[in-house]
Order: sequence, then C-alpha cells, then structure tokens
Amino acid sequence: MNEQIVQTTKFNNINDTEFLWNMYYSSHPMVDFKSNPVEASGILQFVARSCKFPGTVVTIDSFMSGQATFDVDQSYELEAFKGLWPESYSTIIPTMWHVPTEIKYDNVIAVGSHSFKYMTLDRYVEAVEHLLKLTCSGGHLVVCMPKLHLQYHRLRYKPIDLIDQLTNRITATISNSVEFHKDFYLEIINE
Amino acid sequence: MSWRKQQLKQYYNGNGIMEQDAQLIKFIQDHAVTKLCLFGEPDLEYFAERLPGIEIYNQWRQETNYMLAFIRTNPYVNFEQFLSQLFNIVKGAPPDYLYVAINKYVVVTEQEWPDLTDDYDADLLDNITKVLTPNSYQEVSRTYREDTGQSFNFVHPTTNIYYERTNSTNNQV
Repeated sequence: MNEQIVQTTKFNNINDTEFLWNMYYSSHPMVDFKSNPVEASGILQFVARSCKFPGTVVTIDSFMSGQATFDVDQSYELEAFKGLWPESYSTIIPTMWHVPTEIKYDNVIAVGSHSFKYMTLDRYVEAVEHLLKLTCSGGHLVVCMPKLHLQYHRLRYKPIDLIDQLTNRITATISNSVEFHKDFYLEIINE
Repeated sequence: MSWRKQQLKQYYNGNGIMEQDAQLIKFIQDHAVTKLCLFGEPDLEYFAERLPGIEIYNQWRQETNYMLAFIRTNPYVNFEQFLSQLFNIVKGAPPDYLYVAINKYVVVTEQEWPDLTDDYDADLLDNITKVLTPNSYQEVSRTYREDTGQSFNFVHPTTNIYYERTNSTNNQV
C-alpha cells in the first residue's frame, strides 16, 4: 500500500452539512425538520412548555430560527454550522463556551446535540453549569443531553443513569426530562 | 460513493487510508488469508481493491479458512445480542482468525455487568474475549484510544481486537 495512513477526521473543517449529519447516523430533527416532523414538533413543544413565560429567551445552537412559537431575544449558532443558516440573524460563536454570561435570561435554550458531542459526563456537567450562568434566579434551562455521543461507560451506566448523575452534580433542579430522537431533553430550573 | 471514501475525499483528497483499515489489511496479508468474510462492513469494493486475489464475502458460509471481519457501525449495538451472534459464528463454522471492531458510542445493554473497571474500552473487549476464549480463541492484539470525535470511529471503530484460533491446523503466520 502506498496510501498515506491517516487517523483523524480533521473535525473542525467540516462544511458539508449532509455529510456531517450522516456521520452521526442521524439528522437532528431540528435541522432536518421535513424528515423528522413528529420529533421536531415534539422538541419544539417541549421547549415551549418548559420555558418560563413571560420572559426573555436566548437560544444557543438550537436551530430555532423561524420555528419557535415565541419570540427569541438573542440567538447564537456555532461557527461550524453557520452554513446551515446563511440568512439567520444569529450571532456566530466558535463554541458554546464563547457565549457571554454577563446578561441573564429567563429562558436559555440549548437543544442542539452537537454542542455537547464527545464530552465526558464531567465536562457535560460543566457545560450545564456554564449555561445556568445565563439564567436569572428561577430561570429555566432547556438543554439536550446527547446520550448517544457522550463519553461514558455504557456497560456501567444505562442512559437513564446519566440524568441521575447530573442531578447529583448540579446546583439546580431537573424538573422534567423527555426522550426524542435518541437524545434526552431536560428542563432545569436555576435555584 | 461509500461513506469511507466520502470521508477520505473530504479530508485527504481521497489519498489516505484509515489507520484501522491499514492495520486490518496488513494483518490479512501477513497471515496469508485467502478467504475473508465481512459483517456490518458495506464497503466490500474498497477492500477488494486493496486485497487482490483474496475472496471476500459479506454473507456467512459454512467453510473453513475464513478470517471474519466483524465491524459494527450500525446505530445501536445491543451488546448481549452482539456477543450471542459472535458465539454462534465461532461455534458454527469457526474461522482461523477473528477481527472484531465495536463502535463504543452506539452500544446499549440490558443486563447488569459484573466485574467492571473504569476502562470502558477494556471492559468491552474483555467481555468479548470471555465469549471467545472457551471456544479456542486467543487474543493477538487489541487497540483502543481516547477519541473526542477526531478519529474515524464511525466508519471503522477504533476499539478493536484480533484473535487467532488455537486449535486450527490452517493458521499461517
């Protein structure tokens, strides 16, 4: 063989969205709404039910442009996916960790699974705590927990155990959880 | 274009070969394998291009002198069912060599597993070995690595293991 042996996918250079989603063996319903209308609708309904209204709303990597039934005050999309929303009003940020936390919102919505892919459970807990910093006291965080792509010992923990693990580690209350399209979605209320 | 070729074209202008594929091909060549059965690996043509003269199948047949490449990349691998399938294969028509590559991200399990360590990859491979050792297989080598999404895990899992059958009269090294 004369071919160069390669190891990595050079992840950050992805710009082919169909390729990207196929790579994860699913299209996130919020991106591929037409192929997953039931699940996409389910997620949107869960988000609407889990938000605290009236109140301010910020979305992060959540594909909410034009689909939410409520007004979004601020919207952030990850740089890797800016090609998905070329005409979006969203502010582009490199990663979820670049969301400014000086402004607090009644509702923080982070239902895109990509933000959390390949995180360890510890890192995911850090991410949830980071998103909770955006919420007012008593504010609501609606967040995706991508059980398919988090790094955890799958012989030791069932996916449902992840929620118990998160419950024990964050200083907030998980008031509701649902499962859509192989991911969990959580409503967390800041104390 | 196959998924494997798409990824290589996307990142390497089609000029590369994934490390896991290269290792597998080298193993096949080093052990003079002449008949190969691939499970869960749709890219037969890709391997046929690089293994001229070797018979490659994707359906199991009751023949000896097989090396079985068992590559799981499908959504959701039920680990108990996976081990059961492995057991049936090695009991029914045991190949001289066995290669198992499991996508650790898509494993689901229904039972409670005893004797687990903190090393998920090792526990996966150890439980596979527990099924195969009583059926006269010994490990040749195993590989796994930390993967935070940068590896080609979803095309060819980075958690993989090679076995040889200890009671085969056909093994060639």
